[in-house]
Amino acid sequence: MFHNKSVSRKALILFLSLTLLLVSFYAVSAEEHSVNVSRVSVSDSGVVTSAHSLASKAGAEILSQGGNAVDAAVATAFALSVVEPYASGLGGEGVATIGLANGEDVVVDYKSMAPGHVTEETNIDVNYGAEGSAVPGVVAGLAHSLKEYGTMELDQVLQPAIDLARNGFPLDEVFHDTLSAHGFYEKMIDNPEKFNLETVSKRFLEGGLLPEVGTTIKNPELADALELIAEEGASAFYEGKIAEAISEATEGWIGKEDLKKYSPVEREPIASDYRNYMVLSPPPPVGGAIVVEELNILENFNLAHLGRYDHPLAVHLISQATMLGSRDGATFRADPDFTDIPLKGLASDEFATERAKLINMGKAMEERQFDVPQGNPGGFKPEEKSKEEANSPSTTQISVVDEEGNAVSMTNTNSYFWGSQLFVEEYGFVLNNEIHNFTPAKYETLNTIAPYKRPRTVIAPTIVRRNDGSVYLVVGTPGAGRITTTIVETIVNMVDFNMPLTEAIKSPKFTSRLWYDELRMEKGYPEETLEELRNMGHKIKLYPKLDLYFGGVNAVQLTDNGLMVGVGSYRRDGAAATAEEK
Amino acid sequence: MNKYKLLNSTVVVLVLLSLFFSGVAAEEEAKGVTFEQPILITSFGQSPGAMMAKVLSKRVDLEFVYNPTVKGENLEELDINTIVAVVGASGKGLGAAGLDIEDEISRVESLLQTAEELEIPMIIMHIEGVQRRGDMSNKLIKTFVPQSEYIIVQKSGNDDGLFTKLSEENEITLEQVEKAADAAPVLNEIID
Repeated sequence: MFHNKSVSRKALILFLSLTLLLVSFYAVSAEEHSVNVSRVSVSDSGVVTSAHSLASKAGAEILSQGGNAVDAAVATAFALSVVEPYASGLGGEGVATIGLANGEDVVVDYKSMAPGHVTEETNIDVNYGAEGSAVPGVVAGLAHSLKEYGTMELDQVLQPAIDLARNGFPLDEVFHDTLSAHGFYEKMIDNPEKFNLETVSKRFLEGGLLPEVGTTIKNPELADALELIAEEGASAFYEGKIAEAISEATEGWIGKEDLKKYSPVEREPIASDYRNYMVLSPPPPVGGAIVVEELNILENFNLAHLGRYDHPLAVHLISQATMLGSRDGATFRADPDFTDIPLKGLASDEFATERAKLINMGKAMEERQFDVPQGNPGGFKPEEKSKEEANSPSTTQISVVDEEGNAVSMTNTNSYFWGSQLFVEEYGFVLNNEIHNFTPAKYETLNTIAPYKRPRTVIAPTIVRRNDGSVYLVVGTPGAGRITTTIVETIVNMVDFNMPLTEAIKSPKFTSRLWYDELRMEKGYPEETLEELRNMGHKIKLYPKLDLYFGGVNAVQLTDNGLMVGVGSYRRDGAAATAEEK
Repeated sequence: MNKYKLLNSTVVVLVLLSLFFSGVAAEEEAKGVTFEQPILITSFGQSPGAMMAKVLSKRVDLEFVYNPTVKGENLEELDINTIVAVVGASGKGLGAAGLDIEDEISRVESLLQTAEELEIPMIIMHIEGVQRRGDMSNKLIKTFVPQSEYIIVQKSGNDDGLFTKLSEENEITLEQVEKAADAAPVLNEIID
């Protein structure tokens, strides 16, 4: 009996031990798959930041499952296509700057391209409908990045997005507000047939009314598209059923041959030293060269000596540098596969020093618009005039760092919020309106439309490395024309003024560009600074609050002690998600 | 038996509802205000609420003209009998219309001055809830709600009681609805 009791007791202990072991195993498993999401997150095992908490969470879950930064960025991008369909998605485009832990850096350019039938006479002044749309690049670009630099399969990284589209997600304030951006709500009500919006208006509206925040939004058509891509790869989009649907939706404006011809392009990032940090940003047709040139110009001035970001001279110098950078960017930014661009000259210290000499320390440039003198970084004949690019603060930024130190800075966009507003109805996504980003032929710029050419934009997903090669900062932002100035100010805030990332992002921003007659500033600068700037001749336009107009930086900083600090945008409800420690 | 009970209850509810609405209409008429079609649906602040009012008006077959940026000088030619103004400021909407908040206030002031001259009554709606209660919206609400003859507000937009206060101070009938969609039968009832 005693013996039996002893056996029973041993069996019980064994059973309990096994149970405990199992429980702790599941606890660890659960912990591996759980993530923290908030505006600011700190970790030593990976951080994902994006404009939406559910998308950041999707990326961090991929990190938790053992994925690297590229896997996580791709998963986040697909999730954003569901929860932020107005800003980016399958019908859009983007650029990723990838910095690998082994020191290799690459830019994946998946900008959209003009269809093959366009000519110089094609009307590019079209924002809405098929004729505003270029051949989308997002699916090809994300699939390429994953295949070349990721570790997971497409179906794995697509699963969070598929779940969100199929099961639904709560409508947030940004989505709610954006439903009416650019007259989209009106088109859903007044012109649903013209823009293929009949299905989507049922998904996004409640009996024709804007739904209340918190309402569950589902997009089963988009889930179908994502599942097709998960099963068949990017070819489902460029050659399969989705290609057919795009061609049909655009009535042949984007033909099946155009889609078949699309491929992403790998480019070398523009690299330039800024006060002992290496700044890596994408070359044309996007805005990285402007960021680099502007920082190089600023390197001619001792900003740190001024002590603070809101010092009037700091604002003045940055405003003049960004004015000159935007002037050169207007000329030397176009599809590099169609023209020679003097990139080395643009990124050189010598050129920046020449440009810096034009800055008067106590007086704002009187000339604006195209009277701002043109730089000549390579004996390149400058153009005389151009036109301003899109002003919609749409676009979306993903910044990721993983445990190994791999980093991805990715900016995706539809151009305007809701792009062309033309939906590929059976697959639940909107097509971009990038065609308007070409420059009219009459201006004879490098950016004239041509078959299969990519229009220029100013997105600039950037990575900053330390002298020892380790990643210091992954940064980028939406904000159209403000993108480059906001990135420059964020980097300067950290490098020159030693501000923590949270403050560097949150502090008020300003923008000064070729096309603006005034210095546009967010509220928050001291009155003395504004007064001094006015004394220098700056006309100032104030924005009454932190405004999405000035972008929505999502960034990750790696501190000296190895911590990863992720910060989601304060201007667009961004979120940072961390992978739970294993 | 149960069926009869249900029928009876339904009839009672319908009678009470019709008495309520006829009471409301009678109250407005007693003040000498009648709301007649066709109506002008416009915006005070360029939020999407005006488009929602258009959807609601379609639901109850009201004859309307939709013009969110109508100016006072154009009011007479529209030949409308009631203004239905949806108040709510949207930075994006104002930007898209090429207006700032001061421009919008000037536009509305001129519109209301002409409306007064033409003796056109105004119903003000706020149907986008608490989200549409920022500083700019509040400025428009406080400035223009007292000039209306009837207020329809979605409940969460009146969480702080501002509309109730304005209604009481200015003796304007206020109808609070649970959801934006509930404003449609109210419009249908008070507009002939």
